[in-house]
Amino acid sequence: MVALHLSEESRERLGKVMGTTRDIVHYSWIPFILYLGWASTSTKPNFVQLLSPFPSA
Amino acid sequence: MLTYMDYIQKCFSETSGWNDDMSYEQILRTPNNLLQFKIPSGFQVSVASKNTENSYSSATLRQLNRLNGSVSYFYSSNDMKNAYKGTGTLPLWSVIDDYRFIRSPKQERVLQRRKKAEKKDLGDRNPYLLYGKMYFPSQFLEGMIVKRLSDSTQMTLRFINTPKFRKLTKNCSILTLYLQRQNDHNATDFIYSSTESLLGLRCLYKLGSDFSLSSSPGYTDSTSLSAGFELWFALLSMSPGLSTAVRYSTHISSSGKPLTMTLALNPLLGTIESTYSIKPGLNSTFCSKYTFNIYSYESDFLLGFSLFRCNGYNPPSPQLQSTNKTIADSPDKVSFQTGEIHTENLQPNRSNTIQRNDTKKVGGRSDKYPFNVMDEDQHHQLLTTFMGITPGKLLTENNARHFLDTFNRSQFSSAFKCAASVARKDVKFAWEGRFKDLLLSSGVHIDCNDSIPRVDKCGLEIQYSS
Repeated sequence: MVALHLSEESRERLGKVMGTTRDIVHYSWIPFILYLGWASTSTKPNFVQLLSPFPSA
Repeated sequence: MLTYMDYIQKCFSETSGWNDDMSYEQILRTPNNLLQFKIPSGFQVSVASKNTENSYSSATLRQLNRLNGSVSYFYSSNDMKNAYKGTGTLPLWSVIDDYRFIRSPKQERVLQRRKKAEKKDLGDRNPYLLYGKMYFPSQFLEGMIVKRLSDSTQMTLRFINTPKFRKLTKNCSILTLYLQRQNDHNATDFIYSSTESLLGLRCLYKLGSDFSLSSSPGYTDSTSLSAGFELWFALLSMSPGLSTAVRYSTHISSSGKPLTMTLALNPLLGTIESTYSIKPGLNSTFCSKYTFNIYSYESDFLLGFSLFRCNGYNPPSPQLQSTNKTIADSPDKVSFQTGEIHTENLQPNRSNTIQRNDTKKVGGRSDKYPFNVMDEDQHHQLLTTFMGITPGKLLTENNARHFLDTFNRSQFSSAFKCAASVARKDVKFAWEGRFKDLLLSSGVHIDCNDSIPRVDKCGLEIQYSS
């Protein structure tokens, strides 16, 4: 297996980028799914309807 | 009982024409359903609903030592309105893990052809499903992407991510990628998991007496033999893994009752497992399993059964009643029903058979006898069909179809499951059923190793979805 030689500074920077990307995915994944659901429908339901798992009256 | 996430994924597979059972992972599904069923821990309530045409949401509250919960959201690019049903209307057998009816390669081929035609109508040929679930108070995120790459290929990506709360704690991510390819007689899965850089390969081959394309199109054969293996290799620890299994599934010729036998072998761990599962009636299933280790000489014998309570039967659809009037008038009262998951797979392939509606007008009049207006090729095809039919086999297939048809029309209201192990000295009981519009699942696991049996695990789960 080819080993990847990186300097200490590059490794630290790469770690930070990876950590930030992970945090962005972590907190934006569910809003992204909600947005797709909202964008795909023609009625454009409001935020509460989209978020609530309870059946709407 | 299936969770809401599993149910949505099942609906997605159904509407996109993907067969979840066609994988080596599922080769022991029937014995696992009957002997290793899940017992709920503590008390759990989940509420779910369809928010828009393509999005679904669910919230779960759980009490086990302390209160915790989760919210989950789904988005599917294809419309699942034909498959998705709320807990008040869905058939109970579709969410209770029990005996799995195995399709033969020919039935698979017929179904695939039909699904392809349906997909053309739907428009979206390569649909995808997105899923996200956040646990509280831990804020763990669980996600999944399922994407159909082509008619025979699917990609699934699952991940779990834990957040970084403090500077000292390290966040952790686990990612698993599945690349699956399947057709009517074989399936291959490539797996990569970030844990230990694990690589996996799973293969399943389905064999059947009607495997060849030239077999008679007039009837189907529900007997199938499946064989498969899985290989694992962890790149970081350099440790391998291997297992192989064979499954034989058929129907009893006199009654059409299905039975499945499996034999699984793990040469590295030295375990041999053999199982025998049978559905002696519409409302019951029985399973036995024997395991033996060739290195330690340890063995175990497990027994399990499930009993369903049936409230009645749905009538066959009126369209099919009129279509199959002549068949329904026959002494064995075979009724064909389409639109159901299992029975539709057993429909005979009628694309090549001659329909009465195909009569052509000859000399200005409608010919009563279609045989007279067929060309030479059609004559030959029809004669080959009749010559290929074995009366005994036809009877078996009719019995099998009748059994499945009645099973699919049954209105089950609850199920009771029991499994026991001789070596481990434990017994499990579970009750799953519907009360009003709620699905209830309860169970208890009793450990009998001590002089006084003690309850190891017990719980109750309540599900509602609309």
